[in-house]
Amino acid sequence: MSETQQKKSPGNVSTAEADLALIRKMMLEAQASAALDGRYLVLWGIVLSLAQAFDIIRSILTSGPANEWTAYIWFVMLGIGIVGSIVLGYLHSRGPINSGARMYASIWIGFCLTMCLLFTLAVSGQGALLSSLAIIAPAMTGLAFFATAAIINLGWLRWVALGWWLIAILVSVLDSSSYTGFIYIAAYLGLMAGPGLAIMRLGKKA
Amino acid sequence: MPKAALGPLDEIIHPQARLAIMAYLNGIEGASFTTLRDALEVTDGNLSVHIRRLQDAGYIAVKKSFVDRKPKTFVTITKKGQKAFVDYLATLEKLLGTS
Repeated sequence: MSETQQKKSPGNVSTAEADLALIRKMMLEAQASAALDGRYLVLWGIVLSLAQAFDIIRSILTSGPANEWTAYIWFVMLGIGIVGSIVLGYLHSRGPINSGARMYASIWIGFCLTMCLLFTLAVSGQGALLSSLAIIAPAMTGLAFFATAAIINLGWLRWVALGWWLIAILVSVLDSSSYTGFIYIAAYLGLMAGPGLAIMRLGKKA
Repeated sequence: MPKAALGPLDEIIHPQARLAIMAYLNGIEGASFTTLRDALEVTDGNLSVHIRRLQDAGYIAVKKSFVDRKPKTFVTITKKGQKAFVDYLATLEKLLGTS
């Protein structure tokens, strides 16, 4: 291997500065493209807000509380979300990966599986769990955002987490399905799809 | 720092495109050929030449596979490459007097 002895001349210093700037840029770009992927949040924000909207329409049409149609609506929409996530994951696997991206994905896959499990238990006869799920779901979403903020080093995501925890408190205080449905739609769009879009924009800029 | 000679700079990494490849791969576990090409904004041919040079030096590993019947090249940095990159970085920092 041929190697060159470097002297600290002005020319070399400026070249070294340019090299360091290039290294910094490339490393940041690699880290950002590996970890920053807001597409899942956008997908789930839209899917869940649609599910909630369909459930509101269902409650108007049947003028009653949650019934088997609620379960059908949510299972179909969760299925769409899961299939969509698998497709996105397949596409993303062609891009760069790092431990941050793996942790980011693990958090949200774990969150999704836990929520699907709780929902399945709730609609299969655990009535108490179904009413608790309205508070558990936003609280857990807040936790997932809080962990994500630390992993991809985005401080403002902690405010999104706080927003979800406030939603959990608000829902527990209101305890009214007619209001909570609209609150959830706003939350899924504003506190899930919105941050997802912002992360996507950051990923493109990085 | 005296104006005496500093540590040697690795000439395999030194060209800008190869330095960019090493920097990009150093912080992640690996990237596809197309991801690297887009990140570096170079042509396929140009990137292939630099990848082969780094691969010959043992700094990166190239894995070729088929996904949906299309060839896919995945590039990862090796331990030897990581060490060479860290050494290169240390020399640059010495040159700038930042370490």
